[in-house]
Amino acid sequence: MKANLPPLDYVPLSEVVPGASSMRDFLTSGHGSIFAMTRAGKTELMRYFMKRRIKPLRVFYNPEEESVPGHQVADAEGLKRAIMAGHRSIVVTPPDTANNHTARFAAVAQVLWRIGDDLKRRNGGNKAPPWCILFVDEAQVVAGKDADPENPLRVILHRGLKRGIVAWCASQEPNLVSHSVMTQAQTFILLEVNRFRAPYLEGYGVPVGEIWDRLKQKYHGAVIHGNRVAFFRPIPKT
Amino acid sequence: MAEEIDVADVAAEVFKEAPAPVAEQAEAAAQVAKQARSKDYAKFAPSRFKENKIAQVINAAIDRFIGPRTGIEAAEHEVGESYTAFGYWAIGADPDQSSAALHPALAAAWATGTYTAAGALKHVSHDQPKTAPPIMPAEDEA
Repeated sequence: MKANLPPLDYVPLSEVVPGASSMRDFLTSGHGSIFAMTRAGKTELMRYFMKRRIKPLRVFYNPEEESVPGHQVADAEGLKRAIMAGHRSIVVTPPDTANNHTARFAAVAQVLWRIGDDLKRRNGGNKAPPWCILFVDEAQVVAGKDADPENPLRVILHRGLKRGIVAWCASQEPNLVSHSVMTQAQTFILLEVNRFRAPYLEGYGVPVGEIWDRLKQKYHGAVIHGNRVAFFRPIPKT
Repeated sequence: MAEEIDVADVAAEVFKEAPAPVAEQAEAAAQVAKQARSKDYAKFAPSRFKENKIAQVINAAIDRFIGPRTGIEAAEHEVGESYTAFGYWAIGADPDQSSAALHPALAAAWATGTYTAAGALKHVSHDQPKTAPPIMPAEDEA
């Protein structure tokens, strides 16, 4: 079904997220979570974010080997070198996609954390300005339901903002991601989601019920911040 | 305020330890290649490199040689020595007998993500490269 909705570029985001007068402000205003069923446009949306020419470093953790624009690296060492070389749109695609993403992601997170720690220190111990937007695709493989408090993604979700790191987690399975992915997100983006996910999302205060008629349709997306909602067309594929 | 931060400079200070010797990086590259080879590397390589121009070379090689004509001999015949050195890595060929030994700097650059399209294309245009390709600026940022 073709959606008669504006693309995200034309959504007045500041009416949804206070103070977000630009896409950069929107993405750095706080952590976010993106949920969608498969083929609903989740990855396409993140490609769109990665393509945007915005100042903060954008890092995409890519466990599913999606084709995502940016400087391609395989691990934390590659990420470190790419940052030092001045790249600002970096895709980390671990070569062995099946195993141990928590450890692999931990190494990636450690690189960002050390820079963020340094920026916080330079800022007199106060909150560092947002310098990094970290996209984590398939967040459930990095921080699943039973992830412990030391899980690197959970640590970033709880303490990353003070170090200028904003995380956007994406998943098809909101019920399989860590509790922190749900509770620390200030903004949700929902694309087409399965009906049986709705009660789960509502349990975390996401007003899915009220917007369900829209979300059950293909190529409909919603930006949700508190009780504010704006609908958009998730990227040009209509 | 974020615009004032030069993350590259900050990172250079934070990570000011000397980079790993080329031999170590080559070993790391060999591990990556082995992992790629142990998986479905025809799936692995194209997606990993799809966004840059060298991907076109690699993908073409994979399309052509992975399948009925699997083997690096065919690649050598078709694309020549210098292309093959890079192609070995792309298609997960035996690093012990090919590019790890011949081109450790190439392998290291590939493994550490500093191998950019322009650098790679420049590199593969010369036989038997001896030095690491330059670290190029990001192509997607002005």
